[in-house]
Amino acid sequence: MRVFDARRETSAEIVRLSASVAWEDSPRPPRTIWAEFPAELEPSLSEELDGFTIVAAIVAQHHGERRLAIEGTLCPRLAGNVSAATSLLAGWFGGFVPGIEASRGFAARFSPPRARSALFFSGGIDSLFALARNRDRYSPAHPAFFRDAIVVDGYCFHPAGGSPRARDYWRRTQRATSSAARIAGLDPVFVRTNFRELEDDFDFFGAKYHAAMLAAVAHLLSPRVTSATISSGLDVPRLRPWGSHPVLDVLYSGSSLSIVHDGVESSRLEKVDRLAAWPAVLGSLMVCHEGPLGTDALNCGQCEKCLRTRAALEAAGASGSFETPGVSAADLRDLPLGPHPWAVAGYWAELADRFRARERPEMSAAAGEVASRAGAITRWHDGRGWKGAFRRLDRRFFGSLLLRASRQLRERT
Amino acid sequence: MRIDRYRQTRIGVRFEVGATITWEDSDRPPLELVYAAEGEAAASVLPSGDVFLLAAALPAIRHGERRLALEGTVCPRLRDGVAAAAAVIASWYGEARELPAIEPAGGFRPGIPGEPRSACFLSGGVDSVEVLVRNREQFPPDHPGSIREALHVSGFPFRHDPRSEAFRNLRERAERAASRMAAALAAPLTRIESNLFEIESSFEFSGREYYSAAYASMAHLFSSRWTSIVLASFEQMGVSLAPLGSHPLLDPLYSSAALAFDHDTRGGRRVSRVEAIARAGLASTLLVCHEAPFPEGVENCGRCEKCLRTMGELAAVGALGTGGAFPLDAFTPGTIETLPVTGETEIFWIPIAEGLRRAGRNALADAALRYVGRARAAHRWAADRGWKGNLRRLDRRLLGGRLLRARRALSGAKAEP
Repeated sequence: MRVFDARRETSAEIVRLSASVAWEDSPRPPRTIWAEFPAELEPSLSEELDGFTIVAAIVAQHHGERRLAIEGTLCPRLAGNVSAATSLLAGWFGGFVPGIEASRGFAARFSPPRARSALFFSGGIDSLFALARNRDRYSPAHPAFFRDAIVVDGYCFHPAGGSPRARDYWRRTQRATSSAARIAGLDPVFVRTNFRELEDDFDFFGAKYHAAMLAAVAHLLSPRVTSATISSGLDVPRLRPWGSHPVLDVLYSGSSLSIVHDGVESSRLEKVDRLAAWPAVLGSLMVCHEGPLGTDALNCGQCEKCLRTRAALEAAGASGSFETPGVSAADLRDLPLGPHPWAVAGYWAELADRFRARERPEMSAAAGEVASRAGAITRWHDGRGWKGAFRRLDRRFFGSLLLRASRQLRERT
Repeated sequence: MRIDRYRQTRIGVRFEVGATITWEDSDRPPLELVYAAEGEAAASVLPSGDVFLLAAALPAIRHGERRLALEGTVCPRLRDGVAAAAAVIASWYGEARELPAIEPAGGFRPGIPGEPRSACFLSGGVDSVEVLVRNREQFPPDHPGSIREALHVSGFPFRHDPRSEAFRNLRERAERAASRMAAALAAPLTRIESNLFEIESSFEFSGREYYSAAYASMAHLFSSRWTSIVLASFEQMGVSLAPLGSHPLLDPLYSSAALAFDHDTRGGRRVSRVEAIARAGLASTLLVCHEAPFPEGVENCGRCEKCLRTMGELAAVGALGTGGAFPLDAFTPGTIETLPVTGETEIFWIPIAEGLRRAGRNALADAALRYVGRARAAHRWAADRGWKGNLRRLDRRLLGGRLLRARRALSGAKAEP
């Protein structure tokens, strides 16, 4: 894969940075990848291809490109790190590690004279928690105090692009993050990219790509930002190979910009506990990936993620601050488990424990029931237990004939 | 656990920092913890809550202390990092662990980083030397990422009894190698030694959990001078990432607001690291061997796995002749064939075999591959993999290992005339 021809186009409202990508081993059409920033940030944007290199490297690894040739200079620390990142992904998921070349050699980048820290901000629990903790830890004079909230379009767990759902999601994200940023004294930086078009497979986005996309944006802002924090979506007991991970994310750091992965030690419930003490921002909390909602609401209030958040806030005694206040055991009955049921069982088990400790047996039972439904799907998904072993044998020796037969039988009865 | 009576003294060129550790819940004697530094940055050592938190947190967890009361302040970022590290270690080894309440008398306050200044740990072995070689290639001297100074931890690894001749000999050889490397790569050296491994002297604990926390504790002594310190990774991304006391998941967690603790995985495969060192003309100064004691003038035994592996790597990149630190006559197919299998080292020998084959040294390549085969078989056996492993597990579970004993008795009987 070649990455070349860095360009900058400026209009009254936006600056678009772009680069061309050409495939060498995979029969895919060439593409222009771009990121758009507010025009007032023009002096804060990078001339280099470093940011585009990150997204290109992860996609190149995914498609088995043998090399990543950058037509320009490249930060040597970033090159080494990205090579380690693609090796890590190859170790996790298999595949090839592309060699990285820079036609004009490797040149260490210099940081701007003053350190400036940024947070990738979505308005959800993880990034709001990172913000709350940053405010707990640092005074405004400290270089680690977050000044910028970088909000990236397309950072959502459904297909990106121009669909009504994606447009609605972006509108809601802008509203939620603007409001929280105002409360917390952050400068919001809204960025649109087409990075997901380079490879639009949804599983790829989740498993390998999403932190790379954020880090790429940070590198394009590197004349302004010296540290950018990605909030952890997984806590230690739930760590697994995933596109944002404490080992992976820091590998997108360069010689002038550090990428930090923050919050892995705290569970989602612990994060909600901290946010319960900051009710002012809870009105701006946006966790919902459903849509288009067709209302002024930030959250649908009814999907698995909304109900999980409502339940967590209820357990933390702060449900009145959320857009859809309160939750009852009846709300949790027959709750739809969403697109990733295997990822949510642990959250609901933790909630069941919390309600039990709070002597709310009805809520505990309802949360426990959701955990057990999600757990059953998780076990199926992971192929655990004797049924999993049987399915593996069926797949291996009979091409899943037995599974198909059993499904047909069940449909008939 | 209480850590108090922080102190700082100077004896000639030696700068010492210390504190008293008192156990509260575990029946263990108090310890006078001491760090002693000599060399370029020695005058900068300062006691702090961050230093002692890193030294004591994991041993305190291991021994069930309920709190960790310290003098002074602790960085809140480091506090959260230590909590995360404890959770990571617990998840690796499946042991329930309670992090003691961290109670600094002065509360949680972040340090303010000074002017950017980078340092690195330098042992004199392949991984740390390659970090410095690469840094010299990649950064101009005026770049904040350019490593300005190196820190050598004296007396570690401490596999040997600290009172033994073997310990003294290995420490001197390592100091010699680090000093030469530091001079060659223009990184003024500071040596540091400490009795912090006496807080918990288990070698297994150090290897599995504690290694990089101990190193980070020493690094934080210099947090008024350095803003970043690099610890070379011996992990190879995508090849091996096993739970270990120094790990890319753990080490960054030992950063504070003032000092970044960088676990460097950018060196690629070990054979590439050796190639970079040979290219820099430093192969003859390497110290990789942890065996000891040796007679004067012998730096590496040339017979242990690590020596043979390094010689194999030098041979694979066509630089064995430059490795004057090794007795070249030891590098034969015979010595590789008879090498005992220790650890999961076969991952290093596959690229060696490939390189030797490319270099036309087929007998050595074949021997390397046979070693890989033996190592894999040993690990399969140890991990009970494959149908034989299943059978052994069943035998253990249902028959108390009788089948295995019977087979051994039979093969023993056959071996006897």
